[in-house]
Amino acid sequence: MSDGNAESVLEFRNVSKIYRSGDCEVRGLNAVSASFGPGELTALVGPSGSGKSTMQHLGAGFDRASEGSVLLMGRDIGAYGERELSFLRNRHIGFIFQSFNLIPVMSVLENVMYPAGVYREPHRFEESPRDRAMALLAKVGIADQGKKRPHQLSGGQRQRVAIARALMNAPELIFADEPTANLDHEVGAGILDLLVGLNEELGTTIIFSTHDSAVMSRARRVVSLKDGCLVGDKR
Amino acid sequence: MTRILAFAFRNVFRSPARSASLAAIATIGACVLILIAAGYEDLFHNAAAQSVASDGDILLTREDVADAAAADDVTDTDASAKSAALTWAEYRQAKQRLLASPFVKEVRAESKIDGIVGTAERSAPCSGSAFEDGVRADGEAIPATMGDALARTLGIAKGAEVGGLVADCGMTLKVAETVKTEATLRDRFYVKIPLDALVSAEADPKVDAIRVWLKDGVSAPSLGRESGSAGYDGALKAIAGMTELKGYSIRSMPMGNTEINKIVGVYRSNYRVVAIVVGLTIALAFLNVLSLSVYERQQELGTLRSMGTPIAQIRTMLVAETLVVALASCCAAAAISAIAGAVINACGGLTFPAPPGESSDIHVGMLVTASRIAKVSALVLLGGALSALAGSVKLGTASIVGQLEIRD
Repeated sequence: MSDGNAESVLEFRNVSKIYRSGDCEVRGLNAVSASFGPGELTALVGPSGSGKSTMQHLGAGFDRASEGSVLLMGRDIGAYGERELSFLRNRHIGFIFQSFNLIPVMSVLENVMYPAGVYREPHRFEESPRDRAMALLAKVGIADQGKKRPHQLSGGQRQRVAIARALMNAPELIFADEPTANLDHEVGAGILDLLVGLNEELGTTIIFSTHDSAVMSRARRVVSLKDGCLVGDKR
Repeated sequence: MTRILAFAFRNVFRSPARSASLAAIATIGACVLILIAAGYEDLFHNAAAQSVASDGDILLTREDVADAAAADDVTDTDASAKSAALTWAEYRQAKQRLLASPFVKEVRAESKIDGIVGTAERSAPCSGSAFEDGVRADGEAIPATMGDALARTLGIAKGAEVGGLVADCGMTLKVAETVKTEATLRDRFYVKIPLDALVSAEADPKVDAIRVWLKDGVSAPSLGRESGSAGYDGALKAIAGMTELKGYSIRSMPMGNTEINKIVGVYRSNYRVVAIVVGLTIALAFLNVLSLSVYERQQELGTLRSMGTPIAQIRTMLVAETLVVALASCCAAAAISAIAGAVINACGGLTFPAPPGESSDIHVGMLVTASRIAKVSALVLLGGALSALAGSVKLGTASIVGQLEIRD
């Protein structure tokens, strides 16, 4: 049964995240409400400490809100247990990290295939996980790098592997935490082109954080945060 | 599972030096445990074999008349039944029947003897046994085995002759050998003579004990083996079925050898302590290395969880990593122990100085058994698995966000 807006893939309802350290209390996110529809390409912008990463972590089910509700495809993920949340992260969410976070002991192809092997579900896709991973590597432009280890790739190539990995289970929602921050301008622009292209081609909802104005200009929607509060939402 | 194992296997080689040093600690520990046990196994195996060779597999002893009569609830009839010792003539018939059993190889009788032995200068009371050993006494001097205490008291050594009034019969004994006897016999000095000598002197002596040796392939319960072989039950049935042996109690000699069992008991207690100490050392080494490994890989573990990997799968992977190292250690320990044992045996074993009260050094070989290797391996694997579980306990409570934070 749906709890929220059926149109939205992700919805924040009055969400706050409070970090406690002894007697000290810090609000990482303060009563934020926002809704993200299918196929949207959204940039979360704001200075460091504004709550961009916190919002992404809560949306991806990495953390739980202190107040309010986070609804993924209409269901409150705060009510999910650890196992259900793990399954949800695997099937419905992709995450692209600023520092790529590839597994060093796995080959590029194995890194991309990894999410498909966490839960056994044969015939989920028409092609085998290996063929699907190969196809995704081709889509992100590194089809010939499958056998290499991550440390043998450049930064831009690693981020492309991370994007292919995030797409492996065909999630409805992909978060990208400053995906171009560790890359030079030209390579970063290429990664951004790739994300925009995938959003248009696959219709996947993509929410990425940045404080680079050139990057945010590529988004169709810009959500601004400051001191944990939502201060702007431009489409 | 194959994927997790493959991943775990590769993780072992992330830091080869660390994995190798951990495996070395576990291997050394396992080798120490296997070789200590191998030395003791050899010692006990020899002791048990000697015990069987000299004392037999099964001992039938006559119930003590005095004990039976003293018991309040035992009637005179019961007492006489319990004290119904076979005469020499009856025993010889019973022996033929026992030897007809397909499981019995040899049967020998034993009679208790008391008396006085001495030289012109000294004499002393003695007690012991007349033992049917197939050696007929020839001439006047009867070959006798004498306890050290008795030999010292009489001031005689091997080869000396003494006079004796044994079982009310006058005899001349020649000391064939002197032996160390148990402390409880020192007050009545020990002497052992051939039963033939007693039969010659006394018309029809009573048989107080019967020793039975089983045929090859048939064995009684022994050290490290709590039940006898298939034929053992047949031998027991054959003995129990003989009405003339009703007055005798039956016991398995290797198990009944109190001296060996006492030593085995002490060994097992000591070995358990050593095994616990070595096992804990190995487990702590695993725990230490795994904790460090988990700490260093926090971001990676957080990434795995961010992709939906359940904590149970990550824990399984960490346990598998530890088990790979533990298994490699067990294989290395088994090979090293087997080689070391063979080398030590080829060199004639280890020699330890004689303990106080003993005259000869102790020679110990190495009996490396598959069951011992399996037990030690199980200990190492269990220690590794438990330490891996202990080292990954915090994973269940760690936040993914905290794990994903970059550590320098």
